Amino acid sequence: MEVWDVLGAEERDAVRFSWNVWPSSRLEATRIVVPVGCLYTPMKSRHDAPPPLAYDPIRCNGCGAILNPYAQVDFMSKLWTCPFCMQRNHFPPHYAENISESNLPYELIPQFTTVEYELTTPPHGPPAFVFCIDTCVSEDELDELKDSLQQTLSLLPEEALVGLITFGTNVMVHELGFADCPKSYVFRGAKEYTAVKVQQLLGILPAGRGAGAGATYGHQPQQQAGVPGGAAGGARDPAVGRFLMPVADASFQFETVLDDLQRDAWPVPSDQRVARCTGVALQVALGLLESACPRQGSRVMLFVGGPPTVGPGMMVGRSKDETIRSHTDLQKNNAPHFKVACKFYEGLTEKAMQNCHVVDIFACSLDQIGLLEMRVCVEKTGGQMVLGDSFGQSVFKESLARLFRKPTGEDGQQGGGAALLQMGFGPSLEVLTSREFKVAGAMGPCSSLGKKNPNVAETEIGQGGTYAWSLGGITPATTVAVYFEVTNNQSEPLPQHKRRFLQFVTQYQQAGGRFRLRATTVCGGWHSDPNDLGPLVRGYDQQAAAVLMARIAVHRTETEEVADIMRWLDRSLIRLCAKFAQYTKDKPESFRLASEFSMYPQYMFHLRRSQFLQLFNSSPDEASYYRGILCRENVASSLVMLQPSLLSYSFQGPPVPAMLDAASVRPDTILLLDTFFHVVIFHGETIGAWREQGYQDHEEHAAFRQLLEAPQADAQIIMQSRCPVPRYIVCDQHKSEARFLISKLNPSVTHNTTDGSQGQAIFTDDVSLRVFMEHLMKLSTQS
Amino acid sequence: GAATGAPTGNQALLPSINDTDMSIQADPRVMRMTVGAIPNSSSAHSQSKIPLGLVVQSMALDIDEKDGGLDVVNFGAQGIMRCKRCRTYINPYVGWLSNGRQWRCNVCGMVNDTPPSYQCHLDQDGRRSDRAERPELGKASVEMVAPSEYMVRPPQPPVYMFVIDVSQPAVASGMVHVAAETIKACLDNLPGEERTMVGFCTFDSSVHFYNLKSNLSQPQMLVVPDLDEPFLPVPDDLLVNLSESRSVVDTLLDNLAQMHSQTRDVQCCLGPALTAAGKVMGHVGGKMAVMCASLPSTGEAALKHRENPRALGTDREHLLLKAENPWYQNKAVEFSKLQICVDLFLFSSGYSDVATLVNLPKFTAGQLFYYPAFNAQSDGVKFNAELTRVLTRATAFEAVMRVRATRGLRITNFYGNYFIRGTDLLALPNCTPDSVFAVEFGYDEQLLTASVVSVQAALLYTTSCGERRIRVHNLAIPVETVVQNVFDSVSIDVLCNILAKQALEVSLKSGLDSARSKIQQTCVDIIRASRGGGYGSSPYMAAGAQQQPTAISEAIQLLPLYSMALQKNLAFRGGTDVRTDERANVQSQLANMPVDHSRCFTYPRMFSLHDMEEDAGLPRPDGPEGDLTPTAGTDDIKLPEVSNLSAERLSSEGVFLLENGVELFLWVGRAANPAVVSALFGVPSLEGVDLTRLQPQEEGNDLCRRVNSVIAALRQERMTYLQVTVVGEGDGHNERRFFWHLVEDRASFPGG
Ligand SMILES: [Zn+2]
Ligand SMILES: [Zn+2]
Repeated sequence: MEVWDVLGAEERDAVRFSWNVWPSSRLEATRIVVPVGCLYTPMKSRHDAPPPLAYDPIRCNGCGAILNPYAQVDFMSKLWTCPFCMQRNHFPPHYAENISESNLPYELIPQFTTVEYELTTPPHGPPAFVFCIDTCVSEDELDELKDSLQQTLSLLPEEALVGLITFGTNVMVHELGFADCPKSYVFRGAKEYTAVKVQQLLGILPAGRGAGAGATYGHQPQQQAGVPGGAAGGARDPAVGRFLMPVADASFQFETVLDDLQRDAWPVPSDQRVARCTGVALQVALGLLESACPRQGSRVMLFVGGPPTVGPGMMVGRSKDETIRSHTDLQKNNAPHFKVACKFYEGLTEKAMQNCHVVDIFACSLDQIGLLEMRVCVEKTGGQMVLGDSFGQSVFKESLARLFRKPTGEDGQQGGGAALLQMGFGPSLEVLTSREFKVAGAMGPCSSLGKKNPNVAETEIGQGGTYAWSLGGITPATTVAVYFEVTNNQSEPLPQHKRRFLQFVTQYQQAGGRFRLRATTVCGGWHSDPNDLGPLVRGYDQQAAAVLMARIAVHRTETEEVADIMRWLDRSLIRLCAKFAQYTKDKPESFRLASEFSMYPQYMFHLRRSQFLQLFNSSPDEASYYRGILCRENVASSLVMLQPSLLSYSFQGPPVPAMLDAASVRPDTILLLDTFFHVVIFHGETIGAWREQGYQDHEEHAAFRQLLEAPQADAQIIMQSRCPVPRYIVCDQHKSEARFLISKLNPSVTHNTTDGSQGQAIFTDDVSLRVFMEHLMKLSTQS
Repeated sequence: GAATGAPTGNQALLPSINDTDMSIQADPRVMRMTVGAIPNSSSAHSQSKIPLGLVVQSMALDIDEKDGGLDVVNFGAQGIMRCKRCRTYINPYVGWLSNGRQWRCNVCGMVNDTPPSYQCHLDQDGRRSDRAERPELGKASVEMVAPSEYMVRPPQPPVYMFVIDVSQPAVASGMVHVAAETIKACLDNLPGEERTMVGFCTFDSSVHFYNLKSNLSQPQMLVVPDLDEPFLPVPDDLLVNLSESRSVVDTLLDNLAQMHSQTRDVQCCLGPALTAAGKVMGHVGGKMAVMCASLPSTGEAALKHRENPRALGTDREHLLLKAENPWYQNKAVEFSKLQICVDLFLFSSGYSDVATLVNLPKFTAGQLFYYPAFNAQSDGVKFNAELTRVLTRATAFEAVMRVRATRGLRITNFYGNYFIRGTDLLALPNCTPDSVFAVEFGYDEQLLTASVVSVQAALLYTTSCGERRIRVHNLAIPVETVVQNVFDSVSIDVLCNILAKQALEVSLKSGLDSARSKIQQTCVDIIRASRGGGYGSSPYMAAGAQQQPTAISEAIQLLPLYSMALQKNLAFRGGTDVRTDERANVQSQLANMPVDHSRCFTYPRMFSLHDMEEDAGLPRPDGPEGDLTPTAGTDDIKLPEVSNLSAERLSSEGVFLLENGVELFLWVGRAANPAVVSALFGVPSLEGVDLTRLQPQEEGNDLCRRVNSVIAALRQERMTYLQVTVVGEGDGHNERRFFWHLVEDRASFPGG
C-alpha cells in the first residue's frame, strides 16, 4: 500500500495534487467530483537544492520538454527518449563526450526532478522601482508613509533604479537627477495621457518613436557613471539619470523631496471628496517605465489613502452626495464608474504585462480605494497587494519592508545586490503533459499566452486554451493552480505500470537582470479499476483539493451569484462523500470518512462561511483583496485562510490546538487565532479581568505573566513569515475587537441555544458545523 | 468778482480768467501743453494747424520731492469734494459763490453746494481766505486720500511676478544670470516693504513654476509640459509674501542660472507662460516682468518668422510693424482687467516680432525693453540698470486716469500705453514716473465761451503701502483771440512730441511714407499759417496781418529743422537698413516719450570732447545768474559745447559724443590725439581694436573722469540706460548708424 508523502513532494518539487493517483479514463475522472489538478509554486525556495546549472537546458526536438530524470538514456548511441512524446534525441556533443552511467549530468540524476538553469541569455539591467505616493492623506499618514519610504530606500540594492511620483489633484513626476532643487513634471489629474504622450512631455521619448518635431524637448540626460546600461549596452534611455536614478545616486534627492513633500494643497469643499487621480498617476508611472525599462523587470509601487475621484480610473465622483459603490450597487448595475474604470485599468495592465512591469498597491484607508477596479493591475502583473487602515500600522510598514527582504543565510554568489531580491519578473509558465491527459487551465496570478499544442484540453477551467501563461511578477510564495483533463478513453485501458508525466517550465528575469529557468518534472501513476477506490482514496490530498475547489469557487464569483456557487459546493461535497464515504444507504449514522477525507467537509463548511464567499461583512474592495490573496498563496497559507487555526493557552499545560468553535472560548484561557489576514489574541473574561488588575506585574503571579506572554511570542513567529503582514489584534472577551475571533468560530452555541452549553454564545442564524454534518450525512447516504 | 453777480444755477457760466489764479500751474514735468494760449474757436484752431496736445506724466514727481513735492489731502468723513455733475475734483480754479456756501465747477460750470464743514468766508476778491492752508485750493497738484467707496476690493499689495525664458539661447546669452542677480539685488528695494509679493515662472518648451512656500528648505520647481491647457500645478505658494519666503526666494535666485545651465531646449512657449503667470497672479494683479530671448515658437500664440527684408523700403513695410497675431492684444486686455502690467524685455539674436509682442506692454500700461542679440558682457549693465529701475521705482498699482478739460473742448486722441475703459478712462494696472501719456483736444463747440480753459488729470491708484489715493494735476490756459499770440505761445518741444506721436499712428495706418509726408505737411502748414499765408480772408485774422507775411514766430522757428530731423529719425526714416524689430521698438519708445526725451531723440546732442572746456564735466551748481550753459544730472554737471548735427563738424582729429535719449555714440577720429584716446580707452590708438566690446575706462586721467561724469550725468536724465557705442572713424556699420543722427546732412537721408 502506497503512502503518499505529499509534504515531501511539495518540498522537492513545490507541487501538490488533489489526487496523487488518477483514474485512467475520462469517465472515471469525472466521477471523482474534485477535479484533477495541482498547486505549483514555481519560485519556492528549496533548501538542499543544487546551485543553478550555468548552461541552457536541452529540449526535446519533438515536444520541447526539457531533459529530465525520466528520460531513457542510451549510453551507447548517446540518445535519449523523451518520456512525453517518445521522440529519440541525440545528446549534443559536449554531453555525448562525457556522459556515462556513472557520470550523469545533474538533470538526469533521479532525485533532481526540479532543476534550475541560469540561462546564457544576456542579462537585462537592474530593476526600477517607481514609488507613487498619494498626497491626499492626512499630515500624520503622510509622515508615516514618508518614514516607511525612507527606510525602504535603504533596503534597495544600490544599482536598482528608483523613481518618485506624487499625486493628488495632479500627478508630479520628480526629476531625481536634477540636483539643484526638487523638480517635478506636473500632469493634469483629470486628463488621460498615453504612454507616448507621457514620454513626449517628459522629454524621454525613445529615439524613433512618434513625435518627430519635438526633438529638442527637455534636458539632455546627465551622464551618470557606473550604471549598467540596458540590454543593448549602448544608448541609455533619456529617462535614466533624470526620472530614474540608481539608488546610490538618488537617495539624497529622494529624501530631499520627501522631506519637503506637502499634502495636496488644493482646497476641498466640505461637501466634496479630495481630488485624487490614482488612475492617471499609474498611467504616467507606467508610461515612464515603458520608455526607460521596456521588457525589463520593474515595479510601480502605488501608495494610496483613498478612492480615485478624478480622471480616468475614477471610482466615485467628488461630490459626497454620490456614495462609494457597494456590493448591492454592483449587483444592480448601479455603479456608474465601475465598468469604465475596470476597462481603463485593464488597458494599463496589458501594457504593463508586455513590459514585465509589476504593479503593487499599498492601500491604507478607512474608505475603499478602488481596489476592486484596480485589482486586475496587481493580479495580472503579479504585484503585491496590501490593504490596511493606516500607513502607521505594521500591516503596511512590515509588508513593504518584506517585499525587499533578502533570503537569510545566502551569501549572494550571483553578484549580490539586486540579484538577492526575491522577486522574478516577466515569468512564463509552460505545462507539458504526456498524451493521456491534457491541460484544462490555470488559476491564480496568471494570464493566458494563448499557446496551443495537442496537450491543450477543450474543456477550460480558469485561464484555458493554452499550455503557457504569463505570471507577471512572482515571489517565492506565488502559487498557480493548474487543472487537468484525463482524456484517455475507457475503451482503451492503459497498460499496467503506465506512467503519466508532467513538466512545469518556468522562466523569469531575476531582479539582478539574469534569466532563470526552473524545470519540474513529475511522474505519477494511473488507476484503472473503477471498483477499487482504495488507491484513489489513499492518494487524495484533501488540503490541496480544498484549495483547488476554493480557487474555482472564487473564480466563479466573477461571473456567478454566490448562492449558485454555494449550491455547487454543497452538491459537489455530497457527491464526493456519496462516492468515497463508507455507509449503508439511508443510514446516516453509518456514515464514515477515511482519514484522507475526514477534514474535507470542515474545509468546505468554513469556505462557505468565509469572507471569500460571504459579502455582508466586507466591502467590494475587501472582498477582492481577500480573493486576490487566496488565489496566489500556497496550500498551507490558503488553508489557514479557509479554516483559521486556533491555539488555546491555559494553566493546564502547554498550548493545545483548539476547535474553531464557540465552545473553545473559556473565561480562563487565552486563544490565539490565525486567519492569515489577522492574528488575534483573545483573553477569556477571567484572564482579561486579572490582567486589568495588573496581576502580571506581581512577582507571585509570574505564571500568569508567562501565560500572557506565550501567545504573544507565538503570534510574532507567525507574523514574521507572512506577507502581507497580518493585522495583530489583542482583545478581551466581550469587547468590540473580539468580533475578529468570534466571527470565525463555528456557532455551536448561539443566542438560540438553550441547552446550557459552555462557551461563547454567538449571535448568528448560521448553521453550526454539527448541523451541517448531519445534513451532509443524511444527503450523502440517501439512495 | 464777476462770478458773484451771476445768477445761481446758470450753468452756462464758467469761472472767468479774472477770477482764476493763473500763477497756479502744474509743474511742466507733470503736464505740458503744445500751446500756452488756446484759440477761441474751432475754425481758428484748424487754421492754425497747431494740435492742442497735452503730455501728462502723472507720477513724475515724488510725494516728497525736494521741489514740487505733493501735499496729501484727507477730506475725512465729509468725503472728497467733487463736482456733482462732471466729477471734477476740487481745484484752485473753481469759483466761489454765496459767500462760500456754493462753488462753481471750472470744467462744466455746475454750481455745487459747499458742505458746511468745508465752508469758509471769502475775501474782498471773492477768494477763500483759507486757500493758503488748503493745498487743493492753493496748489496745482495734490494727492487726495480716497475713502473706501473708491475701492472695489481691498487695495492690492505690490506684486512682482517674474516670467523668465530659460531656454538654451536665453541661458547662453547670460540673460538669465543677469536677471537673477539683478532681481536678487533689488529685493530689498521693491516697493511695499512687508506686503510685497513675488512669484516666478520660467519657460522653454514647458512652463516651470516655483513653489516658494516659506517653510520649504528650498524652492520646488514644477514643470508643466502640457502646453495644450496650461494649469496651475499647486493652488498656493507660487506667489508668496517676499519677507516670509525671503530665504527660499534668495535660494532660487542664487541657483536659477545654474539650474538651467545644462539645458539644450531651444523652444520658447511664451504664450503658455503668460497664461500660466496670469493664473498665478490674476487674483491680485501687479507687475509682470517678462523676459524672452527668442521668437515664441511653441504652444498657443507661437509666432511666425515673418520678417521680410524685401518689404523694407516698400509700401508693405508698415504691415510688418503691425501686430500679426491678435492673441497678445487679447491677452493684454485680459491682463489689464486683472490689473496686471507687463514689462517686456526682449533679448533675441534673431527676429522676435516686436511689433506683435509690443501689444503686451501697450495695453497693460507697461514698457518694452529690447536688447537685440543680448550679450551679458556688453549689454548686461544696461539690462541690469533698466531692470533695477523697473523694480525699484515708485509704482502706482491698479490705477485709472481721467483727463478733463473745460466745457467746449473734448479729447480726440490718446497716446501711450494704456487700455481705454468706457470712452475716456485709461486703465493703468501700473503707473510709474516713466509712464507718459499724451492727449489731443478738439472742439465741441464752434466758439469757446470760457476765457480760460482748465485741464485736470486725475489718477486714482493704490500706493505701495496699500492706500487708495487720487493724484490730481491742474493746468489753466488762457483762451486767446489773437492768433499770433497762439503761435508765440507754442512749446516747440511739446509740439514735436505730439507731432511725432501723430505720425506714428499714420505710419501704422498707411505707411512710413505717409508718416513722413504728414510731418512735412504739418510743418509747412503751421509755418504758412503763422505767416498768414493763404489765410488772409479769415475773419479771425487781425485786419493788419493780411498784407505782408510776418516773420516766423520765434517759438516755432526750429520747427522746420525738427520736422526734418523727425523724418530722418529711426522711427520714420526710409530706406532698407532699419530692421523691422528695431523699428517697432523705436516706435514704441517714441509713443511713450516725455518731452525732454523726445527733443533729444528728434534732434540729438553732439558734444565735442577733445576740445571741451576745462570745467566741462565738473559740477556747476551755482553758475552765474543768466548763465545758460546746459548742465545735467543731480550734480549739475556742466556739459561740453554742442555741435550742429552735420558731418562737417566732425574732424579726424576729434572725439565726439552723441546722445539721442536712447543711446550714446562715442565717435573717435582717425587722427585723434593719442593722448586723448589713451586717456579714454587705455590704448593710444583704436587701430585694430575690437570696438564692439570697447567702453571708456572708468578710471584714468582728468579728461577721462570728466567724460565719465558727463556720460553719467546724461544717463541720470533718461529712464533707459544710455549704452555707449564706440565708433571709430571709417568703422562701417556702426559709423553708418552714427551718421543717421547727423540730420542736417542730406547724404544721410535715404528715402526722404
Ligand atoms: Zn518530447
Ligand atoms: Zn463739473
